[in-house]
Amino acid sequence: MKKRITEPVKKPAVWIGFGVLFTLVTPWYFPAGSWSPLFWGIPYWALIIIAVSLALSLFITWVVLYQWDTGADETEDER
Amino acid sequence: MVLFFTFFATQYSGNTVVGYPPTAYRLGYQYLVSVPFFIMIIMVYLFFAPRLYSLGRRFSLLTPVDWIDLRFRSKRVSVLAAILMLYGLGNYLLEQFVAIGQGVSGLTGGTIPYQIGVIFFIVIMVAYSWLGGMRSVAYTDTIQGLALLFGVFTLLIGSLIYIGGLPSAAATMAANAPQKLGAPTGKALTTWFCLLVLVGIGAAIYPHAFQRIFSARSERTLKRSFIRMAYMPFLTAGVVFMVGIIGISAFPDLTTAQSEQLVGMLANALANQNAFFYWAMVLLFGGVIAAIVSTADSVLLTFSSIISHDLYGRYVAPDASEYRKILVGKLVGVAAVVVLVLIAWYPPGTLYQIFVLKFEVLIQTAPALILGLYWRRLNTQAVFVGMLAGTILAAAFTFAGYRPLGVFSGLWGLSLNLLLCVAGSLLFGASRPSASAPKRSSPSHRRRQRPARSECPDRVPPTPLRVAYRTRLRHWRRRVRLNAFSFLSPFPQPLLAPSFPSRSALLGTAVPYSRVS
Repeated sequence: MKKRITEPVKKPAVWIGFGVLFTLVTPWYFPAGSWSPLFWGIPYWALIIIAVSLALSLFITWVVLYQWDTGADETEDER
Repeated sequence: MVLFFTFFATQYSGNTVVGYPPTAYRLGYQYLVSVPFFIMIIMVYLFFAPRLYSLGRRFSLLTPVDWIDLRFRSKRVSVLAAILMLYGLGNYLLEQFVAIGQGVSGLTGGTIPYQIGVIFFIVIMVAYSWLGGMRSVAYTDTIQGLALLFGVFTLLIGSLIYIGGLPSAAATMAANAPQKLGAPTGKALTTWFCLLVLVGIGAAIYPHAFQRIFSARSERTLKRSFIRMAYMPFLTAGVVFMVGIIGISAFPDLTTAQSEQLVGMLANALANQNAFFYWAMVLLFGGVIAAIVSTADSVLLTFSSIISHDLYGRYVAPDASEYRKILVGKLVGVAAVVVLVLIAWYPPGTLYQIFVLKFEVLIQTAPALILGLYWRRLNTQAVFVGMLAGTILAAAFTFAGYRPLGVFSGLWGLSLNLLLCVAGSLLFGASRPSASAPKRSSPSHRRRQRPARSECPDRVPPTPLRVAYRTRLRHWRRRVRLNAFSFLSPFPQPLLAPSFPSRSALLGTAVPYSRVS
């Protein structure tokens, strides 16, 4: 049976997800120069950026696991 | 576990440990961008690596220039791309030399001057390559990863105990330089955005990183490594970023030049506390030197392979023997190291400036490498003109110190580059049939390509000869990978890129099946 080939670049959900996360990982939406409150000496906005970065990593994991299957290894596996 | 440390060591280049904390020191929380930009690299990979990997498998590609040559069939485009890549790689090497000089000088409190540090490093590098050989690679990567992991975390913990944690750093920043603590605005925000784009694309198309896609053992391995690398920045860039921030409260009033030696100074301060920290810092610098040597070695390998395989072997003397090609690659590589040492003697700027300048140029090859994968109408002439114009614009803006709207010159160059590529292709169309994307419709490519399973589902099972060919190809790729360490081997055998029998030579010979299977 012919296997379905999926590439992340052809998936609208991947583009939208990365677009949203890229927008959020750039700190344009915080009040200029604000840093209070601090949590353990870290400004609040830095914690939000770290959280969004983690979300980006999780999204990458999802894309790699479920949106990428080109079947390039199939000839290898047949052996 | 070994694989984990290999990744760890790969991402922790010497520059990450020595060069990032000073930048975090100078920019404060605005350099937090170093965590997401490492993740961005993986994001950019996901847009081209899947297709590139399967093409690499199908056409036995080895270097990025192999791909450009296959796609465009144009000497001009390939040579220009190779030159830009060589520049990027040379700059990367330079960065490593400067990093070690600064690190050693800072650790010894200036007792060993910067220049001696650089020379010391070159001597270690040569000795390492000379003695190390292939077998040591896996072990050195693990030991180096362990030393770095232990050293960097001890540096962080020690700094937290003896120097004061993030709250005291925050108090220092709030009192002296609140802009280091506040959310970036204006120019700082633009810099953040530019670094995300520039590093995301630039580091993804690093020739030696690009080669790793081709040399991956399987798609599964590639996927697994991407997933791991997506989380690694929190442990690597995140930790060294914190070290830089703590440095703000430890040494509040350093000049830019002094701050370059921050890691050495911090390590020196900790080493004076007690014997445990002393040895942990010795281990850290051992790890840093090993990381720099291994990075520099693999960069040199890629540098030489572009010279021998892509420039000399393809265009200057295609008929030269394999040994001669490799010798030329090695000699040019050594010559490049000599030139870079001369430049590193009086470093042109801080590590941060060197870092950005490298990507400004390297990023100009992105349209050819990535757009070429997906857009079959992409015109060869347009790609060449775009790449050239983008590079000239980026270089001119960089040297003139001109940064319109605060956007980095490399991104202006890339925009012009892309505009010319798209406009040229739309106006003039695909340049000729053989220059279109290597899809099934192109006759010249159909001859070269191995039929993919998806194209002929009921094809005959692989013959023993085919299997033998694939096995040898895999072994050969592995040897190329392992040979990273034998670049400066005194032995004249062509270790750098062992010759691989052509497909026709192997499949065309009448070897009885029993002998190969």
